[in-house]
Amino acid sequence: MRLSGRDRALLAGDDGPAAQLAMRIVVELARVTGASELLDVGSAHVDGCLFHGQAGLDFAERLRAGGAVVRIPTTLNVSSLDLLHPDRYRGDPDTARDARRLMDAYVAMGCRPTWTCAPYQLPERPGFGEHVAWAESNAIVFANSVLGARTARYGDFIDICAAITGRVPDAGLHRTERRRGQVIFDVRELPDRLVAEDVLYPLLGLVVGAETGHLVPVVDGLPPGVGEDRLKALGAAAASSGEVALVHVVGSTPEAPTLAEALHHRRPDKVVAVTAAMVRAARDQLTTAGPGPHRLAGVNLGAPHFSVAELGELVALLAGRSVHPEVECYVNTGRHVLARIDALGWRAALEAAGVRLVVDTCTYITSILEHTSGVVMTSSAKWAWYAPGNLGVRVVFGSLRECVESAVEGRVVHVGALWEPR
Amino acid sequence: MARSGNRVELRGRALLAGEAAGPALVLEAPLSLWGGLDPHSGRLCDHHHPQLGATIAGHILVMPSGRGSSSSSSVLAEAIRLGTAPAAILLAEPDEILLLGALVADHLYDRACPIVVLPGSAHAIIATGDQLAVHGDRVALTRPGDLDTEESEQPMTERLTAATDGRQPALDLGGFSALTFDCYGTLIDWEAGILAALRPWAAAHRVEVDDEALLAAFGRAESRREADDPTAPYPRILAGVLEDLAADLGVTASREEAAAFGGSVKDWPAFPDSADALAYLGRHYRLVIVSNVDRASFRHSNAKLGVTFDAVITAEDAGAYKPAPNHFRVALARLAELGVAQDRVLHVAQSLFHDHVPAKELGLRTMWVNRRANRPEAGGATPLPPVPVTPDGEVPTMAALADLHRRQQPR
Repeated sequence: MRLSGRDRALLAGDDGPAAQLAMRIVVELARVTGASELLDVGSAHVDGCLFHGQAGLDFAERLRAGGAVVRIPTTLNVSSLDLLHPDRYRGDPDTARDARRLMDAYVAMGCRPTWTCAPYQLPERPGFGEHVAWAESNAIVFANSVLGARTARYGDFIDICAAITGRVPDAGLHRTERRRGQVIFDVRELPDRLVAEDVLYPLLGLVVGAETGHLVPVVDGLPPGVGEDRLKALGAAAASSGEVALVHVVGSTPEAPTLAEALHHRRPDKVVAVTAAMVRAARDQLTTAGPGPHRLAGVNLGAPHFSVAELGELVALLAGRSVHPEVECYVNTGRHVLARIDALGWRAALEAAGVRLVVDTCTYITSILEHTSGVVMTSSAKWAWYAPGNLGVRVVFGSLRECVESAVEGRVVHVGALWEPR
Repeated sequence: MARSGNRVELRGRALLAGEAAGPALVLEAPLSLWGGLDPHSGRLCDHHHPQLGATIAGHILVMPSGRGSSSSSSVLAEAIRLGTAPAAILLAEPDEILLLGALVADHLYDRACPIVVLPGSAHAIIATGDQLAVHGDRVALTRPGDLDTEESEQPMTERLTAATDGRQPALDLGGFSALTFDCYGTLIDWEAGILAALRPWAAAHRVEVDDEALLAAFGRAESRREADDPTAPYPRILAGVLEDLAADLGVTASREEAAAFGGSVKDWPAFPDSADALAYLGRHYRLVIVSNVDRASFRHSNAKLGVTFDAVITAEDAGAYKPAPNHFRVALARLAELGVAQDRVLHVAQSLFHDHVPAKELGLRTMWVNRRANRPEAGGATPLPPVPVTPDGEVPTMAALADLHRRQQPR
């Protein structure tokens, strides 16, 4: 493996024991991935700030004590705590204390306290072709697919090591040949009325993730210019049901102006014709609650964190109505988005309507929900995918409109027409 | 691989070298440690996993296929800190997420959890309960009892046939409510289909190889591919098999040829007695398919078999290929929903390797449709079973199974 003079200096301990440890870990990873050299990265997004146990805290505090400071702009993923609404936390106080120590350690190393899983919604974001070291599966797939930046699938420990050293192995999706589309998902058979609905995109993502394996998928046949929020939902779902870290959407993502370019002018390994039945099956798979009637305990939106545009749509769908008093309705979003909607007057309107805005964390990874009996509705495929295992809740998946109508009426409301065969 | 007595030495690539020893725990389905392992108890806690509740602490965790949330690094490091982690981990492919967890724990706590990547063929040998010793890139396996079947003077198939040669009373078919069927080799004449697809290719590449050798090579390559990539769709498995056959025979297989072979299942013929026998048995039993195939290819085969099955469990539904136990677990769960308990289920299959061994391990009763009883060679496209297995009954054909039922019917 070819190392630069600077790499070797870090390995020798010239920048202190923490940078030395970080560089050792980057080099170990490079050895296993077969990389022949390391690359500079322009930014990092760190997922290790979410508390999973003492080992993660020990590692962060060891780095901090060894004088570690990040060398590149570094954002932080969601944590276990909503620092703006600390009273919402319903878990064990010792865990909360350790989770807070973990957050503090990462901030002390120079990471920005952004606490969001949607760093691509921040004003400054990576450019096309830029190498970055991002963790958090939905952020990875967004950076690669929608921004055309290049990141491998980073996770706990390596994320902060990359931030401290500014270096990553030249491997995986950093390399052009690894970004070739391999599996075509042809969606031309889907009815236009379904393609026009937001709810299609997370479900399509689930289908793509489940059928792709470890290859790179290409979605072909959608009208050009699919918006960022739809691409976000598609990518997050694909990264939940599969190991997708890059999905090309022909006519919408920058490396896929045409199908041929997405495939690097080679033949696909596989072609999947996506049918409405497959999309319906994905929807049914997300609903873990059996046939009703059920008591609706809650509605959870925003996984990944809701964007300004999605919050605007929520305001419009509520149309001045309030959430039913027996339903807890949470929306997960980032602090920066909260500040923005505050300025727009939407925050006051949403809170007056009984919507609880959660920042810095997400309601499927920490103890916030008051009621976990009954069923919980969500328009997020990712929330629906993980919440039953994490929280033990039963989930009903629906469109944003269905979630809003259900929250207002206090019962599960389905808008059936979309799904009925014609 | 070196064998002596009941000890085998396997060699792989050490991602994190070290020494460890302990009993093997072979994962029967992919597992993400995040959400799948409780580091406080060292037990599996994924409610969708067939081994929910199993303890990994002190075991050598064998993961033929990984599935890693990137938060699994933290969970592994935490388990190592708490002393609930496996003694070592054996993988089929390098996994950066697990490596990072073990690496960081090694740095923080000076506690090693060696990680070794072994080839898929080595994974096929290791069973839960085997004693393993990891030393750098080597893994020594010892199994109580007989590991080396080659020591026996009597060929495996003879011993098996002797157990079911008709001197025993025939199995009472009245004791069952549902029949689960393997499809390819049992209902569909896959050897005819495979040869029809491979012969023109072999001829075009001027390969001289007899049918039995070609089928045997197919059987080796197919089982290896299926074990190595359990979630790959069957057409891709087949395409890969053609590439392996080409490599074995020193010729090439173009992408088009591989894809064509991958899509050839639709042309494989049914055995002439399958449709009639199924139509008859369908009047007396629930019929279920448990097959190493994809749904799309099976639809073509189903058209040839005529009947409507009460459930169809493909590799896509099971997330693995037999001899992994997934198919049987899914089928038994589906039958339980239909009100059929496991003791009312008879599994009917030709392949001892793919079907009878895993079905017996789950306690199912089995009927061997020994389609190759009159052939000189042992296995054809089906590998020989790795351990001795004794089906509960044997018939040469599906028609014979239907006849047996007719004869047992009260008059």
